Amino acid sequence: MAKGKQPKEPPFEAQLQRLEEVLRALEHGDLPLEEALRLFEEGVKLVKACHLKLDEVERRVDLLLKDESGRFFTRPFPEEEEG
Amino acid sequence: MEQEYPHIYTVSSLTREIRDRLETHFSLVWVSGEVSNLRQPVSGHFYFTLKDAGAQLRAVMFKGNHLHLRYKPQEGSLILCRGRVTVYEARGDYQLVVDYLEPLGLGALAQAFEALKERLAGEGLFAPERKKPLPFLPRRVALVTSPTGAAVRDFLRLQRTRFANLEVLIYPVKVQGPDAAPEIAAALDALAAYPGVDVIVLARGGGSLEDLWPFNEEMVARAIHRCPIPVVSAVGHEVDFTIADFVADVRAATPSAAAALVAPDKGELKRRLEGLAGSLRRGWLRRLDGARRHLNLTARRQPDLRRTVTNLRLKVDERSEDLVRRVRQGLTERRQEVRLQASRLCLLSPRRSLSLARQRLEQAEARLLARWRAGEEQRRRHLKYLESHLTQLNPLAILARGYAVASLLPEGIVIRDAALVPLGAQVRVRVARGRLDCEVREVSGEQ
Repeated sequence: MAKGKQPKEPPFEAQLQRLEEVLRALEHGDLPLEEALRLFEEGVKLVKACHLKLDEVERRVDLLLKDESGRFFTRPFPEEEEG
Repeated sequence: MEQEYPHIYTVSSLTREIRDRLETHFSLVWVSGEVSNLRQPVSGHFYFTLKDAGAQLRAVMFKGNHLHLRYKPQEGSLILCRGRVTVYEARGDYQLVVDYLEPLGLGALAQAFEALKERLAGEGLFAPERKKPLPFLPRRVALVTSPTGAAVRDFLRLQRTRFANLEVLIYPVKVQGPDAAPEIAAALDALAAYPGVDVIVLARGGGSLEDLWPFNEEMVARAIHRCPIPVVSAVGHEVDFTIADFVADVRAATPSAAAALVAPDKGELKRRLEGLAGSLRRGWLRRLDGARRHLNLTARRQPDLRRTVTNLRLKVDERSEDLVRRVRQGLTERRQEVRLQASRLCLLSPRRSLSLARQRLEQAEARLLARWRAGEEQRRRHLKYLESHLTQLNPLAILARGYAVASLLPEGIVIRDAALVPLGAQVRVRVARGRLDCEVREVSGEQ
């Protein structure tokens, strides 16, 4: 079944879950220092990546239309500004 | 037959009688017909004409009666009404005051709905296991709806509030009428192949069963069913349930609700992320701090090298002093031991017995001396006596009286008997003073 292209990186939810895992492991407290540092760095990377995911992609609202040859093209959908 | 003069009515009285008869006889009737001349003035009441091929009937439905109705009559639609006939005397006309109406054939539609629902359910189209989960954060949302309806505005408005920076693709379709169902099915098939679409929302505002009918069509249900992308169905109002709602992966009560389902709350996500980041920092700092404290603790227990060396030196000195002391002590103990043994030996030594003997000797000597001293006087006297005695016996004294002692030389034997002395023998004669060595000239043996 076609489900669009495969995502290159894990989806947002997976990254968030991993972040929570890292946090739990870090808070557990038994880790050797190097391991704790590694996890902390991973956590920081994940936080950055998640923020990026949330902020990337600009707002776009498009109308999907077909031209005469049956091909799809988009046109911006006029949104009314809230009064 | 009795001749009766016809009763002469006045207009009012005749009209009143007509009114009485009509209103009594038609106090509750069900009428079906086509709606025309539908208008709804400011008062909110519905005024329309019910008609069929042969006649028409004025009708009114007051606001209070139709407000709660889901179905609103449309121009040209066939409806079924329940009401009562009233006569408006002043104008001389009658009308139907409707207290309830519904689209005609509602029963038939409802039956068709139930039948299809049962059939598709039997095929497993509604099975919960089939339902696909919605993506947590979709990149591209496709909205299948009328571009001019309220649904699209409602959706976009809420979506902007929740998570503005989403890509929304609007696939315009008809949402009612006979062409709607094929268009909706085609839209779903097209979007299934369109790149990057993570979720599809099928949306339509409220309406009558007829209006919503396209979403009860089998072809739409099948199109939703075969769509590989998760489909959210947001058709009609809260109370409306269409077949599309059952087949879809998720049903939303309204287009706004669909936006809430599809778009996560960005603010909340950001806050949650910040919270996690904060916990991460705190967790790490705690760990680091713990490590530092541990390090300090350990460092305190192991001071710097100089101190360590000094301490070690002190220790060594301490130990060596200790050692020396112990050795000395050992030595002392040995010496004491030796002395002890020596003294014990001493006790057993001959010197001791010697000195003991000496002691006894001395004691004896002393006693002897004492006894001696004690007897000395006696002895002295005795001696004096003996001395005097001796003096008398002293040969020298005899000699002094003139006697002489003759001894035969060389032996020196004292001569007592002259007969024993040969003539010519050498004889020593001791006189009181001096001696005379003589030769014998004559021997006579008489006295």
